Amino acid sequence: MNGPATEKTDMINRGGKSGLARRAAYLGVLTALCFGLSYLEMLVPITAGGIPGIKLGLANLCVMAALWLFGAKEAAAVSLIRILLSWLIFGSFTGLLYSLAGGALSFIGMILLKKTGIFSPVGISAAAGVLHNIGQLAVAAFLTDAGAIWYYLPVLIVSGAAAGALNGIILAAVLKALSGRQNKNEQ
Amino acid sequence: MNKKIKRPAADILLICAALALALIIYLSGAKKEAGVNVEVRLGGKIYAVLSLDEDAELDIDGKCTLKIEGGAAKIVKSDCPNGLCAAHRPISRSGEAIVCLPNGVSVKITGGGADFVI
Repeated sequence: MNGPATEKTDMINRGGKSGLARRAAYLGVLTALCFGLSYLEMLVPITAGGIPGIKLGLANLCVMAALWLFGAKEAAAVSLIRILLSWLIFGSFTGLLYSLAGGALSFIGMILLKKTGIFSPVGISAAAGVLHNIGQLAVAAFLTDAGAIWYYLPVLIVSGAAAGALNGIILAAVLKALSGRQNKNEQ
Repeated sequence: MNKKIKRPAADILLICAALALALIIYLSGAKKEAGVNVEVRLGGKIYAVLSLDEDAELDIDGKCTLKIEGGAAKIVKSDCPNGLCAAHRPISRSGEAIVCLPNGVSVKITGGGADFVI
């Protein structure tokens, strides 16, 4: 059989045509869930210490699930489709810029940290949360006033780390549940 | 268990590094002195500078309405879709800011010795 690096992917890809169908189904569900969760978050804005705009980043949960279950390409596709869908349905062009900057930075960070092999989903997700917020603020600093953005940075680093860690805990549980289910199906 | 052994030490270190970064940035900017002026910018360019001492209401290019009352500034109305800027608490200390991202509007308290020059 193949090495451990492709173990996860094999679990889902196994079985030729049916494997492909399963993969398409998984990614479709993940993308839809991703979009649904990001919409849900728009409905429940969080304010901490009088500063609004804090998000749980639940959409990233699906991107991470795709990253762990399939790989970087698939995860990037889920993320990009989610961002484009949000833009088409709710969006403004500046909103798209913020999403792309946050999404790209956190994605690159996740890939690099995952490659090192020393971090669990909790640590990687926390870093992704922080990087997402830094990416968005970088665009904001460019479009508005860097001095004003500086003031938001500490709050959004802390909230990004906390929300990201929470997502990581959920992701670890989801991955465990999914792999248990897979094993059962195989038997 | 599978091969993905959790290594909490590395995770904790990573999260602590992020928190330390936040603390450093916070301390570098936190001079909790009362501000003097309210600097309003539109798309990064200065739109107006008002005094915090005088109560006033300013229409920012028809997009947001800024209100200065009792030495604190607040965005009371905005035509942006999420209205986050209007949810922000009133600001009065030097370095504090309110940003309306969709409109490209920023309101920052200046003076009192904590101007950020970036």
